[in-house]
Amino acid sequence: MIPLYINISLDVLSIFCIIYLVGRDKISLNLHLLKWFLFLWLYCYFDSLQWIGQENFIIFPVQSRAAIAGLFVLILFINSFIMKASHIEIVFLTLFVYVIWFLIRLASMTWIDFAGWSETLLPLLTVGISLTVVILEMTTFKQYLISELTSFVKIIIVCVFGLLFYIVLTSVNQQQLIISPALITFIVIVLLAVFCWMVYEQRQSQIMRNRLKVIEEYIPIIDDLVAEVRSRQHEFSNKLLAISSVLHSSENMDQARLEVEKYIENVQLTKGQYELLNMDHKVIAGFLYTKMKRAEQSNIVIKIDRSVPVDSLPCEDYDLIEILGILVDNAIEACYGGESIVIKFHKRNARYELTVSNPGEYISNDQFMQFFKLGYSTKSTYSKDRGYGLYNVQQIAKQYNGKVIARNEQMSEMMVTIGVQF
Amino acid sequence: MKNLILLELHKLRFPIIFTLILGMIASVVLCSTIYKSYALEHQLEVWEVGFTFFNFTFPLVAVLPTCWLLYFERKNEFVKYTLPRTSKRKYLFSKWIVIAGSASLIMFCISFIGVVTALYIIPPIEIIYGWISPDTDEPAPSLIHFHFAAELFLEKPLLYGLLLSIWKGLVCGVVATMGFGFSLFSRNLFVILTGPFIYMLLDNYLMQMLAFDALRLYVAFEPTSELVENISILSFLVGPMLALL
Repeated sequence: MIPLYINISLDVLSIFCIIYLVGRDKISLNLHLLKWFLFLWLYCYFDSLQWIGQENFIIFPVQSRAAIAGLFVLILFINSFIMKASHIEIVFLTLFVYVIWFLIRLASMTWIDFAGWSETLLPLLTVGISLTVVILEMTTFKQYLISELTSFVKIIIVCVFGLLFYIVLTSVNQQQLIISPALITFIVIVLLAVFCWMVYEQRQSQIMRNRLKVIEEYIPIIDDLVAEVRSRQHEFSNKLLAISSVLHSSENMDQARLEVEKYIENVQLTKGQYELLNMDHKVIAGFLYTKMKRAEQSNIVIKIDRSVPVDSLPCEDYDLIEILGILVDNAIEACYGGESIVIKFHKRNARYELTVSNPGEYISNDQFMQFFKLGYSTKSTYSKDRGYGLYNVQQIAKQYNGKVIARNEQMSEMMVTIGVQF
Repeated sequence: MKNLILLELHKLRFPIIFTLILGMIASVVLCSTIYKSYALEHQLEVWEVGFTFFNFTFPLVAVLPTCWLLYFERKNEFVKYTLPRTSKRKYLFSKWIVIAGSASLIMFCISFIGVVTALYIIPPIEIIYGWISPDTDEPAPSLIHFHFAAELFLEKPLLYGLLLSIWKGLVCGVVATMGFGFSLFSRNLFVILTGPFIYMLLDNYLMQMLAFDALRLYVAFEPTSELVENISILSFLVGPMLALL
């Protein structure tokens, strides 16, 4: 017989595993979680103490309808403190936590029933499955899951929650479920299949939406660049005529060379523009053009050094844009007027590297590691909503089995380089 | 002041009416169905067994319809705009009146419609005596011995239901006041909306651990949830007073 406090600990642990699974991008792992773990444990423990020997709901770590409602409200309450999400999203994520936990619990119960194991193994099996699901999600299935819930998914979650809650509440009995384990297994399998399909479909449609969004946003910008170049070259024939006149009217070769260079200066593309027009990826080119324009306003120059096609980077366009956006914005904020930022696309040791460098003082490895922590910001005195950028870069890199790069580099001056290696 | 109260009522009219209608429908449905699986001795017991859902969710009913408003008014700094036009004290006082008043009214209506349903809409129940009298060793009426305010309950059930509904409304007003207190200071909406409910859960456990079962807020709201010999005037006062503190 497993002591009550261990049973409760296992149940609460499995609930926290699922909370972490559902809100993975919105939760920072810290000591506060332990505080909430203890809070939930105390609640479940004191409720269960009153029902020793007359348990009504073996599926729950609490034993009365009021306590089940309380458990739900408490998890909602805890999520509101540990998840960084909007109010309505927290409500749905909490429902989602319940749904997944129900499914795992029901699956554990039926498994135990079929295998003829002792019911005391229920919390252990639940926590085992929960941990396995979390580990699988972190290692294998992460790329298939997204953290935003669409309206369709929200409706499904509410319906499934209602169905499971109904099953659980109507199955109140001493020690066992009234509904046949075979029926519950069938329901669980069907629901799991629906969830897997839903998650996969959602992922695919999200990818398509994101692709379309970035294409719609940045392709017109590259047209602006072309228009700008054209506007500067539309008097090209006039310029040729002027050059011809210069050559005829100049007294010597040196004067001719000087005059011609002066004319050509206005017609030539900048190195950045040339690089963008020749870039194989128009969406990224359009995006970088907007950043160049923004940097120009602060008298900062963005240089692009590219030795590999952008298309070869194993990363979706919208993720690449998010990475570049964060890195370039950070670099612009760290620069003063007259300085340069270097964006590099390279291949090193059979891996693709995307880095952004800006002039800066030497930074130690400890400081670099701090940069990638959630909520850390060197500019935190201005706003509390900072410190998400580089953390997000790290999360995106992980999605593609990549890693973040941070180093000091001595170029023409000391540069701080941050980037991603795929 | 009257205009401020009307303004608050105007802002909150839809959630209040929605909760009122939904709560009354739920009360009628629950009172019309749950009693069928119980052995009862008196018609008004139909209301008692049908109302159990509201006995533990009443803190949510008290705060969910109204207490979110001040949170959002603080968040979007609307409260600051009211300062040149009216005093902060008056503005908040009018808010409290509407929040506490609407919570009381909602709970009174939900409870009393249950009483009316039990007494006048549900067909007369089949009376079953489950208690064996030690004197006769025969099944006998138990309510006269074990029910809170038994005489009033048995002889004037409508008055009993009316008085208890008014009292439930008042307790709900107290809980709404607690929610209003949270909404004045908390920056987390869920603390405001679920705080009173969680307070009730904690109050329940702590009081039971300290062997003050009869002084719980839950007992103040539903005095029949505790043995009649343990109920005293303190059972009605301590829970709400602690909640107010």
